[in-house]
Amino acid sequence: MPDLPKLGIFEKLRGIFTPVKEVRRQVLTEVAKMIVENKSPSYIETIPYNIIAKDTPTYRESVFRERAIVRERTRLAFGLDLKEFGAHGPIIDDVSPAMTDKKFLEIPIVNVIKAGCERCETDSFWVTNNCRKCMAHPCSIICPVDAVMIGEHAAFIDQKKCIRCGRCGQVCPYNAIVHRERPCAIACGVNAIISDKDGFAEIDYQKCVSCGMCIISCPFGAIGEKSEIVQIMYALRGERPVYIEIAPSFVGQFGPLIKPPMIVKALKELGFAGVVEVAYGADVDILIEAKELAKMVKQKKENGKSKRKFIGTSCCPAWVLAAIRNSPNQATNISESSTPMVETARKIKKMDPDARVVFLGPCIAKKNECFSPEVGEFVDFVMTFEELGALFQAYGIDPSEMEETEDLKDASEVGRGFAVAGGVAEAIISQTKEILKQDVDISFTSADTLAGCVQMLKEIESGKISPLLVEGMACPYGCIGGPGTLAPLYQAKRKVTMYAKNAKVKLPSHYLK
Amino acid sequence: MGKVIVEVCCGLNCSMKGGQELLDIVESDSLFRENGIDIIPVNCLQCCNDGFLSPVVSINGECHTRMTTERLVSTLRSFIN
Repeated sequence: MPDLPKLGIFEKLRGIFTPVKEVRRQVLTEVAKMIVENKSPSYIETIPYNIIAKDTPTYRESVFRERAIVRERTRLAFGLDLKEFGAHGPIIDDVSPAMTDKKFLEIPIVNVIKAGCERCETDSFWVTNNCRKCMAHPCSIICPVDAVMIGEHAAFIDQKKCIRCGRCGQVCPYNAIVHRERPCAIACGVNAIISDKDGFAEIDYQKCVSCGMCIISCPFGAIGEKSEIVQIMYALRGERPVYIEIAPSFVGQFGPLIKPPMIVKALKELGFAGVVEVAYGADVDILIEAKELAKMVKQKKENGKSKRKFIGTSCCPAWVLAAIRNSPNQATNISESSTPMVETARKIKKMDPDARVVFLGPCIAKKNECFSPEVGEFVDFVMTFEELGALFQAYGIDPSEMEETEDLKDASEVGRGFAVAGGVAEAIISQTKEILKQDVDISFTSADTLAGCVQMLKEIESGKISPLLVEGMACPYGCIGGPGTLAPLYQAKRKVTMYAKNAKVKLPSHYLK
Repeated sequence: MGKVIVEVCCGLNCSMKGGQELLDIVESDSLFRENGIDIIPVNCLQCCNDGFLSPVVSINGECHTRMTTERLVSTLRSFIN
């Protein structure tokens, strides 16, 4: 057996360009082109035929199913709800309301496209044809409920009796027994994927935090998120100036040769009135949290313990929601400060009260964050890097052809480091040490992936660990691993770190009060 | 064995259609570097016909369109043998 490391669910499809990614991007680009070329609402019916143009199927058993799935994806791209089975009616009868510059998006953001769902087996054990019907048959001997039978050619498992303990698979000398689980459910760190009565995947919206990990883990591309690109394009045509605040993970997303000033120029070509780094907002939050943490360190030194158990980062909305729902007692320690997205938008609107603000990032959960009134007041729309790529393609703007006229200088080195897991904690601790004027050891933990975050909170609850600072990231490796990213991880991490080193200052306190 | 120059197009259309993933996969495999195959990201090679033929990879100056990971890796491996 080759000595390859075992890949977790988030690493399996990562860095590989699959037909799932291809179709997803084609839909976004077709929708963007439709708006750029000012086509009428009825043009939406042409899009499935543009994308599924052959007479024989490429991805599924028929072109009709392929087009049905594309139709549903097209609806999501407009920000509309899915139509799905049983909804009889033409797809175009409610598209026009989405063709507006007003906020249109409504929950739910993440949707299972049942037409595309292959109803994968959930949590069950099966005997594969690796089975050699051996003389030892440890599988049937070890089974605690007598669910393993030996048939004519192989062992088989009675699914009604099986209690999914996994012992049969553990003892099989041929590794012939496999555990089947649906990838979307494996990827979901908050157990929000359930099955409907027909076995199609369904999202439990009481648990779902819109992190989007299921979207990029489904090998059939059967889960999709709603987009605001249509509304953003109309807003860009409007009278009010539209500013774009870009998350620190933007660096390197469009290719290794694209430098940040080229992205800034390309965004201005699109029609954005101004470009601001979200890392500025990160700096504001770093100061707030560092001041609090400095206070807690002093209290611990003087009294043996701090008044507040720990301070939790608040910049990742999926982590915050997951914490509130799974560990409500611990979640009270999460910082109440507005997120970097809000702080930066607040600054933009203070500078230009007529401004509309678009957040550009790797994140789908940010779309959900905007539904809170105190957030939606400042941030109008959210766009991912992938969606921006579609806009660039539709408008014929290539960042690689832009001149490097102006670079952004809005933020500190540590603020720009928010994009990588561990970067937020590092930033807050560096700033805290500067405030305290001493290089004291400050205990902290950071977790990535929601499953990791939930586990970390359990360990804090049980007292196994007692950090003063807690960083939670819903995406693997932090924001650079987000569902809306385009660049491979290694590339993204390298470019983000390089750009951080080019910041005007190291710490927020070097330029903010 | 002569040097093989592999230029992976990093223009917008090719980047969005798998160019970045292609570059990452062959760049991170030391097998090619060790055998005189240079992997270089380059700006738009202007041969994708508005994205229709993306992603594009140029091998020793010759443009190959609609490149896939499978084809690129097997082509590069054949240079080694």
